[in-house]
Amino acid sequence: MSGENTNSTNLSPTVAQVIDEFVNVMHADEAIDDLAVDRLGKILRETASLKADDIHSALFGGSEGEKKA
Amino acid sequence: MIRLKTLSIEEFRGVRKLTLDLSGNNFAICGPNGTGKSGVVDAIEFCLTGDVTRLSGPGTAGLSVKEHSPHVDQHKHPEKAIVTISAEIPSIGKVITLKRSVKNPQKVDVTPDNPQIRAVVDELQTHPEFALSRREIAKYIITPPGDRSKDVQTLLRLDRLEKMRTSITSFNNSCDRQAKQDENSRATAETDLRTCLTIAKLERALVLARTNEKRKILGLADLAELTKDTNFLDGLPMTKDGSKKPEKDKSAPVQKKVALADLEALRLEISAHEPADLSERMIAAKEAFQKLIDDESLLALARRQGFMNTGFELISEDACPLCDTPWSADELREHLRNKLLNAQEITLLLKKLDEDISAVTQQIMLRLQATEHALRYCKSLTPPIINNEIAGYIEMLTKLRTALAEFQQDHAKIKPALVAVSASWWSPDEVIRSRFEECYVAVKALPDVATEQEARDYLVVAQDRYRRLLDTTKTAKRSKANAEVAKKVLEHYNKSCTGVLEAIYDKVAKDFSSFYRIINRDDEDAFVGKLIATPAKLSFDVDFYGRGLFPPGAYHSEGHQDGMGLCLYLALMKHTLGDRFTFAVLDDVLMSVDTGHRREVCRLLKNQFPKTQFILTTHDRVWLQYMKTENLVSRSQSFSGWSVTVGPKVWDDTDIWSEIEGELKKNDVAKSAWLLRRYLEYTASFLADNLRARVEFRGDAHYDLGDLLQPVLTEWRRSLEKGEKAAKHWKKDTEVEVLKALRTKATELIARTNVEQWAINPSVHFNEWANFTVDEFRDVLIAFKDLLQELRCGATCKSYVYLSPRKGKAEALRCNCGAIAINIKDG
Repeated sequence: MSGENTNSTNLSPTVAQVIDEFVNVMHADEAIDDLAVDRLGKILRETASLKADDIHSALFGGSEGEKKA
Repeated sequence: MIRLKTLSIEEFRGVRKLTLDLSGNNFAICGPNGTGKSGVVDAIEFCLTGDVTRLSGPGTAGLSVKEHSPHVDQHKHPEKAIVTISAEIPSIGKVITLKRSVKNPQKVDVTPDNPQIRAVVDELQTHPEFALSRREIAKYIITPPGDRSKDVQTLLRLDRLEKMRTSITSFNNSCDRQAKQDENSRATAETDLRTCLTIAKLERALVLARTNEKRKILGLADLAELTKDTNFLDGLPMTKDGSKKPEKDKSAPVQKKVALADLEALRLEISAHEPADLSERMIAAKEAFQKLIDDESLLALARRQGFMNTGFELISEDACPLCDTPWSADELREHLRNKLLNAQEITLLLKKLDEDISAVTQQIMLRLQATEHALRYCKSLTPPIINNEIAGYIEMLTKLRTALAEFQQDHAKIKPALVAVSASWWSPDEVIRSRFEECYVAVKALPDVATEQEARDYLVVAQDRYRRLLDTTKTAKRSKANAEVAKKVLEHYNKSCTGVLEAIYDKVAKDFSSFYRIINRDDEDAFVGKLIATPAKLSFDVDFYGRGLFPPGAYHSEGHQDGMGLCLYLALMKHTLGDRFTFAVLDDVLMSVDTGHRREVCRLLKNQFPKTQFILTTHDRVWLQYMKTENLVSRSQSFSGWSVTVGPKVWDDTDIWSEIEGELKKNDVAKSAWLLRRYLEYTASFLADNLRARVEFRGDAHYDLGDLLQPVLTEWRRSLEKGEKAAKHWKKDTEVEVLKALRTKATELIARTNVEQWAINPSVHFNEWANFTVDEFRDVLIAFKDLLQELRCGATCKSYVYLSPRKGKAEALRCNCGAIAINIKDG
């Protein structure tokens, strides 16, 4: 398996395929910032238990809690 | 993934001590039920994962790996229960040893150990599906679509996708909630500014007209336009701190004009009737809450909607598909249909309730804001107005707002929300109203400040409120934009996920169909299967002889369904692991495949998965022989029995003769006779199949040695005779002589065994062996040993002879390696 899954969370080929497709579709959407998409793709690949706040930070920078504060 | 080279088991489950040499090749374990085959499978699973599904899966309450996987005589010594595997990792070309003890199931000793090897071991640990049992095969086929979806998702490692969907959905919901809250704040700030400016609508011209009116008093130029940078105080002399606000001490604590505007608006509002829209929304919300409280099941119904949909589809007979409670199928469908309708209604009800709550919340926020202004004025006046009641009113409004917000986040918090929409807060009680009145009178009684001062104070407050409106508008805009992005992200995710999964299911279905066609090409060569994914379920329909697509359990036999289960499992594993599908344990799985298609199953495994090491268990010796003759397995281990003290009794068919001889040396003729009979039964059953012997049919399919052996030997001699005839026909004289000699030898050997006498004189029968003397029985033993020796290849393969092809007219008598290849076709 070595070299087959390089990330820390051991993605299955199916999950990796879905994330790749998702990131591609997001990149094609002009309304969504490319860098934000890259950040989201990265945490989707690396974080097994993702929280809503993690997605918020990736897409908009800073969590909702931080923003409110 | 790995390929197993050796397996060593000590004091584990029913095994005391056992070592198997698999050499990285396919391997079969054969033995009657209860001889320890599954113990071997458990040991493999334990060594690779630290778990034993049989002790930890559903229906295993009270069982545990630590307490119940050591051999029963060692259950207090888990340290003695050890499984060791040596294995090859093809992807990195390394051989490793894994050793795990029940004493510490979570720890596996890996030798050699490095991160690359650990990664492989870790993957095995999270991939227990390499072992498929006959019991589990059904879960892919005759299972509710919702369960199948779950099982297939587990196999394809899709649980992560579901987690991502949940996170993204939760992110979308929180963005949506935030956008609504921020819009409420913006609307409140707008009302605040309008109240201060005493304008009914927020229009640029009106705002400029009001503010320019005051600026004129101060001798300031008119503002020509209203932008985000507009400052109503522009042109005012700078203060000490550089701001344009008037110095605090010069400013009155209460700006009379603005305060009067705020208080007048509040007075007007509370003296008027509650707005019709607010009343309607509060009544509607109250009714909805009451409905939810009166019928607690309604809310649960909404959550159970998916479950009921599945249940509805599963009703096929007069019983509940979940608990088997007797029901008329029609009545049960009607019952569920009503519940489903209720669930759909509840979804709509919750949507409307959310809208009503948001509207009510907006009004509460406006009232809160106006009351907070009043409280500030009460406190700032000299002397201050008693304001405890007003503070209490604010506290009450805050509680109402919180209760409604909490319900929107968690629908279980119904009761406080019901109180919130039932409370009559619009018209506060007399004491509070009188405090507002006192405040209003006191403000009105304040001395009029100089017109310029008043204008300045007015502009300061207006500027503060305008700034707040700009800030809240900016925040609301950003939240709205975020909510739109979040919505798109969720839509993109769902679309991507569905697209990829549909393609995968399509691919898996194609592989499945192709595998199934390989097994059933004789009667279902146009077979197709379809996997249809919908949220939370995975439907599976298969073709039935070109008559259409149906669920697998609809028309296909159980044997065919089991074949489908195996094919779907293989297709899923192929997709999940690809080239890494190097190892699988099929525990008694092949047994369930219908008998007419077993050879094809062997070919499927051998030809479609040449890089996969299969470890197969079966209790059917004929099956084992099929696996051997089809070259699926070259190595096997047979278990002849099991006892609690020694574990599986290993049956090595090359050593059986010395084992019987050992018993004879102990003068135990009865035991020797029993062993010989068992071994002959074992051999005769697959020889009957190999040679297509004409055995007298028995409805219960229980054939004893007397039923099988004579037809086997008759068929063998007949084949040799046919071979001789064919050789004569083709004028192969040398072969004729060889075959003649073979046939003569066969006749002699058969005669020595007395088998032919069994039919003529039943008293001369294997049942009599136990009464023989040691010497008499030794003669029998040698006769059978010589006979069986003649029936197997003497060269390299040692396999028993068989007729080829397996169906249709036999053309040759042969062995696996081809050293025996007797043509029996004479033209």
